[in-house]
Amino acid sequence: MVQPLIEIRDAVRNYDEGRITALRGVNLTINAVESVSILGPSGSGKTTLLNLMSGLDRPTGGSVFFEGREIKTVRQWMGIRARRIGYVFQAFNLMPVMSAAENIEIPMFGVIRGTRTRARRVSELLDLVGLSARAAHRPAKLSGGERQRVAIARALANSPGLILADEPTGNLDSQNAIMIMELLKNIHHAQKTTLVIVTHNTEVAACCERLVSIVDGLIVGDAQNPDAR
Amino acid sequence: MKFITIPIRNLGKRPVRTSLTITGIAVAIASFTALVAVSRGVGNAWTGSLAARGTHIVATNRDSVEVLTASLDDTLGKQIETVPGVRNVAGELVDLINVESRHTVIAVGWAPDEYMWREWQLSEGAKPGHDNMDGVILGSSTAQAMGKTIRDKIKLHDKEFTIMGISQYAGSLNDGALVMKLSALQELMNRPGKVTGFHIRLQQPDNEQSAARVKKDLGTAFPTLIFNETREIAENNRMLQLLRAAAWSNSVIAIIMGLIVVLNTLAMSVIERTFEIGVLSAVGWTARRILSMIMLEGVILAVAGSALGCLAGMELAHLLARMPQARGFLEIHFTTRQIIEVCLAALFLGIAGSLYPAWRAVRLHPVEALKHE
Repeated sequence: MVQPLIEIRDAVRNYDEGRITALRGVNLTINAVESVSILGPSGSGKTTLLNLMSGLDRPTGGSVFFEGREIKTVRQWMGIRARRIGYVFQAFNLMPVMSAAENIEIPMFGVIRGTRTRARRVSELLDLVGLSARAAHRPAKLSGGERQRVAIARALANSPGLILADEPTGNLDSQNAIMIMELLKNIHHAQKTTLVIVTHNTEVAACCERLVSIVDGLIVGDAQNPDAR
Repeated sequence: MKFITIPIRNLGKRPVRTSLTITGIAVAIASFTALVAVSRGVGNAWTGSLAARGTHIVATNRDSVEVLTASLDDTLGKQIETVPGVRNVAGELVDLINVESRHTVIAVGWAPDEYMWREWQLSEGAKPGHDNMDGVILGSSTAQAMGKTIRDKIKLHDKEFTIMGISQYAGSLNDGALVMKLSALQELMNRPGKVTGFHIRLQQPDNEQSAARVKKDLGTAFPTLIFNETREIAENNRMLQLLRAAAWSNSVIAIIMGLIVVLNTLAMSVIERTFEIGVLSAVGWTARRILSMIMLEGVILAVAGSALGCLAGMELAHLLARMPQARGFLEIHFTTRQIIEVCLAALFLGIAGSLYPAWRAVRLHPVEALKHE
């Protein structure tokens, strides 16, 4: 039997001393090399779920496993996360004082040794996202689509097996949104990475092979999507 | 990109604040450098001048806090000279005196038959003759500061003296001194038959065992006196000890101020960059890496401020030594030890000042930090 990449068991996440409940007993398994979209309206708990998968947040109740090991018991989880998980944010979250190339290099510190080795990897990633000519530009000089491509390249910096994307097209116009989704799908297919996308946009969700629906902190649907585009 | 580029960029993001912080540290380090240099400079001036005169041991009152207030019978010199191992003894009366109400100089009185008077070298003029009680010798730096030359008159305590010679001697105390016959100074200062101390030359100064034995014998023979070797005299002088203590306590206050400046700047910076720190954490930076980044920012600020402060402090100390009021009393030398002290102070400022902000940054919960956008 293939071990799941991520397994979430009865995950509950409360905030504000239990007054707010974001997740109410979520069970979800994600296998390696899947592309999964988690679809739900605002406030449904989808970003919270993504944060639990990345280990950025811990559940109030239940457990989250990564490759069979419960995250909260894994020592040096931050180091493992840096190598194994790439994170793409809706608002790009690039460092304003650094160039595109430098932003891509940031996650490599502590993982990839040597300035030259890192520079080579940055160059490869800039090629991959089609931004070699914009390497020296700071985020303020890039368009929204370009910034998200830099953010994707940054997520790929350490060749992670899992990419978590939180509303990756949320701040983009439709043309750029299509381009970003194409890029993510290509990376997923070419590099055999597992892709988990959180979105409230059904068109974006339809790009993934599996659709998980979440409403009010509960998974209400989980189905394969044979029509993945 | 090297890791150090990141803290440099972070500091460069707020150029005015970074510059002000560096200036604050520079002021603290300049105070530290200048104060410590001045406190050591007094000792250097003293020991350097004694060494230039060939003095090996200085005798003074055991219970006198300050050499200038010591009072010994000038006849004791002959008795000290009888102790085996002692080559020469010269009684000396020293006091600070205002010349024409403008220049404070060290007035020194020696008996003409003692070695100090005999060996005192002049660059111009001659020593006052046997019967000349109104002649004085002026150190070249004092003469220059006062605009005086040989045969000029000066007034000391309303009595007129003539400059008979100009001396040029190693050691800033020597170069700034006003030398006259012992009896003339005793009369002028109303201290007849008294000296403030005795300069002793040993027969075998390079033989440490012999020197220690002579010093011990002198102590036994003259229990009311204290005998200090030249190199010990500044260390053991209570006024200089007080001066050093004051300089160090002021320096500590300055360093604490510098520490608060670093701490304040970095704490503000961490609060402002909560979101960025959350992003770094989200992209996989470990707590140790975030800690290193903040602490490196502190060290960069401290090193830049300290380099500037050290240069400014050196210049300030030299400026003080050149002031007319300090002429002759200060001999400023910067040693490797002082540079190491400044480097250690800078490291302390950088590390201690950034510890709390770095700890705060590490404690930030990434998810909470990401909500601070």
